[in-house]
Amino acid sequence: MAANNQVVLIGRAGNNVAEDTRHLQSGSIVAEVRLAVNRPGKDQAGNTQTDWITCQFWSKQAEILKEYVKKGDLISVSGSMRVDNWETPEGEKRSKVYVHGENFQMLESRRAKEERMASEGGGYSGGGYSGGNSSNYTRSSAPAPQAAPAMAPAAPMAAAPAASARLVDDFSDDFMDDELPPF
Amino acid sequence: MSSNNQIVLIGRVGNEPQSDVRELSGGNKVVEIRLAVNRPSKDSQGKQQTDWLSCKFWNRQAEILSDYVHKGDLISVSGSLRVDSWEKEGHKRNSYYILADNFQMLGGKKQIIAA
Repeated sequence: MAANNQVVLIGRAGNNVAEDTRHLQSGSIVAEVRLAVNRPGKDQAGNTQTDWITCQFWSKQAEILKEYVKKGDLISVSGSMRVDNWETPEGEKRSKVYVHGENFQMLESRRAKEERMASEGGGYSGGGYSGGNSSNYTRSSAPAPQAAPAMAPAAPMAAAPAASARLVDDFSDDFMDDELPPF
Repeated sequence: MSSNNQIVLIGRVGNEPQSDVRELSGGNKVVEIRLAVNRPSKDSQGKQQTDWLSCKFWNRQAEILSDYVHKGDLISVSGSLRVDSWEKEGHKRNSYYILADNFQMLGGKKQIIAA
């Protein structure tokens, strides 16, 4: 990680990373996770405020992220902040700001995750973190045998309350596929 | 600085902070600077790549910054990464910036530390 540009974020994934992974012609893999990072205070109406931050991972880390990180998962990401600038064929200037992820860590124990899935029907709650449950095991360095079971996979996610699904969708398609920067 | 969102940047200031101070109606002051942060590696043509990142300082920090920091100065900034989202003509827009807690001047004789 560049020493002059360091970011560390903790938040919940707003997308299933597997659905936002691209395989480039060069053979590289790029995975994106949109991270919901809560602000410390609340707004006047008493709602938690959230920053949705795009984090991009490449190669090995992208593969691991794609495999294990699902919508709603609590993760920490470290990396650096980047801006890509490019011009559309029509001559319009575009830029994309994102976190170039170096590393990530899953922050929920399997039990905490199962409990969350059970109580919320798998959807993203938009709420706070489940306190002391973050027994940090790193799936990125371990082969992660326990991570693989897709115990509560897509079905309960689909059944998530409409409101929480919309919350995520509101922020999902900021960048059209044809607006991607040249790599 | 919230512990779930921390950022530290080192770069050169791309605008003159003093001329970009805004005083809001509520009495708050805010100054926004654009920081040129070099990437560690060069691109395929051997050119230095730079990310231009915007940093916002409020009130006391804004005052100190605008008093001491000038265009071209090397500084470090710490704070949180923020995203403001809004909709304009049906398109979703995002603005990423660093909500700065603190900065420090780096290099040169006139080094000061902003408290």
